[in-house]
Amino acid sequence: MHMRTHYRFSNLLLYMLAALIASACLLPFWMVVASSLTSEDSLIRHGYTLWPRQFSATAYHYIIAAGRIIRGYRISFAITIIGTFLSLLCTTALAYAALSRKWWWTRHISFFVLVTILFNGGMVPWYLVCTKILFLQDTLWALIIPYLVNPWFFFLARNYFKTLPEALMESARIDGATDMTIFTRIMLPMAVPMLAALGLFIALNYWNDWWLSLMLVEKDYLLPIQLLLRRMESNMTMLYQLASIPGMSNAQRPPAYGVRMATVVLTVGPIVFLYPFLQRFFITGITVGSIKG
Amino acid sequence: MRKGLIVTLVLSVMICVVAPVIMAKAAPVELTVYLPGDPPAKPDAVWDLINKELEREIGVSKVNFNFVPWSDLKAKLSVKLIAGEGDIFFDAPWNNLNQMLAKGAYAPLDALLQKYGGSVLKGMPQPYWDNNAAKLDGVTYGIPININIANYSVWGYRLDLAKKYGMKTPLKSLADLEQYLTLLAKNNPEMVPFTINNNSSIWHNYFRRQVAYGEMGPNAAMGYVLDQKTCKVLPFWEYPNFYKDLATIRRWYKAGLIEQDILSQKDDKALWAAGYLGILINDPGYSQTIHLPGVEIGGLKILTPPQKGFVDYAAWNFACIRKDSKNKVQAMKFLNWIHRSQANYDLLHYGISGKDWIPVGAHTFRYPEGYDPAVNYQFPWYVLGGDVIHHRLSADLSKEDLALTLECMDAKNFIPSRLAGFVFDAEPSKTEIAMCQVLEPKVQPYFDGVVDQSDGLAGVIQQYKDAGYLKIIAEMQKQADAFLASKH
Repeated sequence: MHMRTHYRFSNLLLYMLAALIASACLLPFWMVVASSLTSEDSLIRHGYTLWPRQFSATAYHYIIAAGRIIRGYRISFAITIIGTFLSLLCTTALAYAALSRKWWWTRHISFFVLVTILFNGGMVPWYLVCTKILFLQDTLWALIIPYLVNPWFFFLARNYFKTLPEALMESARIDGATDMTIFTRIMLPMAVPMLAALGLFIALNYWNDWWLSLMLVEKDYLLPIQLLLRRMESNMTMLYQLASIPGMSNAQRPPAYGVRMATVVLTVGPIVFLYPFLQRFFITGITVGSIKG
Repeated sequence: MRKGLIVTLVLSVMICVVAPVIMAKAAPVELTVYLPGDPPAKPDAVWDLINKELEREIGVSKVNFNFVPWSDLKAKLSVKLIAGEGDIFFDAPWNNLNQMLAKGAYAPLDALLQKYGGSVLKGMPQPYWDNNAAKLDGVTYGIPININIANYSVWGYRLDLAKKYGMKTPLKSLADLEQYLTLLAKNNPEMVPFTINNNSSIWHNYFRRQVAYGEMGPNAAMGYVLDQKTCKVLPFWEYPNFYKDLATIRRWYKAGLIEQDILSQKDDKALWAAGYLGILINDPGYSQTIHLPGVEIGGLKILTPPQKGFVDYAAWNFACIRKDSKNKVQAMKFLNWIHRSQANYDLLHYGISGKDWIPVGAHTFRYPEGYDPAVNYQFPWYVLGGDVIHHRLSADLSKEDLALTLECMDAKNFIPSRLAGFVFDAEPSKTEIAMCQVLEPKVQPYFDGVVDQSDGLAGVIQQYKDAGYLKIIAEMQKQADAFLASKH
């Protein structure tokens, strides 16, 4: 009897603590959503509130009217899906090659990749490589290729592959399997948790990116949603600060505070919807690449 | 057989020699221009017209306007410059201009201006070229962009409310303003009578300028030169009427005419736009730029007449040409095209006459019914091409506003500052400046009337002195004197 009440009480305490932490995480996000649906007037006068004092979807109307959002979403989805697939392929293939002992130089691939973490030519050489050597400017590939192999993810994949039993590969090789067969039919299926976690990280990288399109793309129709929203936000903030814009009356002034919140919702929305489906991979995959018992 | 071979050989050699020449002549020249901000909505109709004219007149088949978000301006433009792309660049002293000049990234423009840029030179008054901040060692590297001589700011107030309270409008003095604020605080308690963003202060932006305008004094060092004869640099507590003005501000604050929470105010413009603010500082053109639907805006000029403000002819923005651009001549010709005639200027900046804008006389314009900046063309003058003689004023300016705007475009309403062109080199005093910047939040409550000056202002001033503020003043004086001596 005693044990059960004690158990229930400490359980209650733990639940309360968890609820507190959960609400601390949820509340800011809730406030963002609520503020994005509040009228600009109310935001200026009363600030951000938990429940909109005055419902209004003007922020969203403004973004959709002025921002070419649908096209931006299309580009963002395209580069995320294609980019994640290709990046997973390239990263895991490189990790496999780095562990191969076929030739004398394959042992040094890891070091080669390590050097790129430590040293870096800078922004201008990177830009010159992308435009003058690879001719990526104004193409969709400009938004995909620079992020194909990330050294941190390479090491993650390599370490995970290292934990897979070497004997299995040996026996497959003895049975006459080529490298391609071992890679695609043995290693990748065994590495599914790692692939899921890695895929999520890479997808987030591609989804959140605005730097590549800022630097390499001038054509409007190739801009992902992140850059479109960033551009809108930055220019709107600037217009607010500039003293005189002939012809720009207050009636046409964009709803700045609401738009800021609405851009957060539009940017994070798809990812939030995706997370519940990938959650189980995420939890197991976080420890991937660490010591295996 | 041999003859045929020889003929073929000769022909192919001829083609190899002639073809590149023909190709070079036929290759269309495209200019790339990098500008900050948002691209105009639906610009293709206007830009096609511009490209057609340019093709006909100067042989440029297309001008690519590339707009870069303000927040990424520095990063993107410097990469493009160094990587060797683009022809015309927007730059400014507050952006990358000084670094790029030091790197030698821009082309010298003197010869190009003399030969191809006659209209460009005519567009800006000569003092702008003499005091050009984009000059290094006497060589011009940038074209200044501005549309007037200087700006007189105004106390923008709600004319409709002033009329409602039965005041005699337009307001003419600080006493009138005080009465306006008192009546506003009494009759409209839901409004904030007077406030300002907390990155500035009431004394600094309003009362200080009531005494003198455009006086030299970089904000970071807070030293001021008012007397043009002696060019003596003053610390802020020696500014004329300093203590008297602080007392006035304190009185306004205690009477509730200044927002009690002024030190945490972040967005006075938004408050005004929502109709909750009684006074907002603005520039000529205020009757349009801080326009509220159905409401009249009045503006009392900051600077007690008949005083005149000082002007240093320093433009904020410049247009530069990249040093290794292959199209330098065409770039200068394009810039010249913009300034050559009113029609060209209008086409670039306002769009298609009748559709995007309606001309009203030679120097004013109006937007047509249903004008929407999200759909109609509008090109900002301050990023490219704005000049003093072609700029059109809005026909909808109030009478008061128009008078002020015209006043700001006439050089005889300003006193040329003897220190025009002087740039204070903050490097020798950067430690003291850093220490003084830490003290700014300490002195701001006094500037906003939140704390009475008898309650510790002397102590804060002493702290400034201890931080080396007077050393900065001495350094400014030294550099200013050296500048004046070198001018003679």
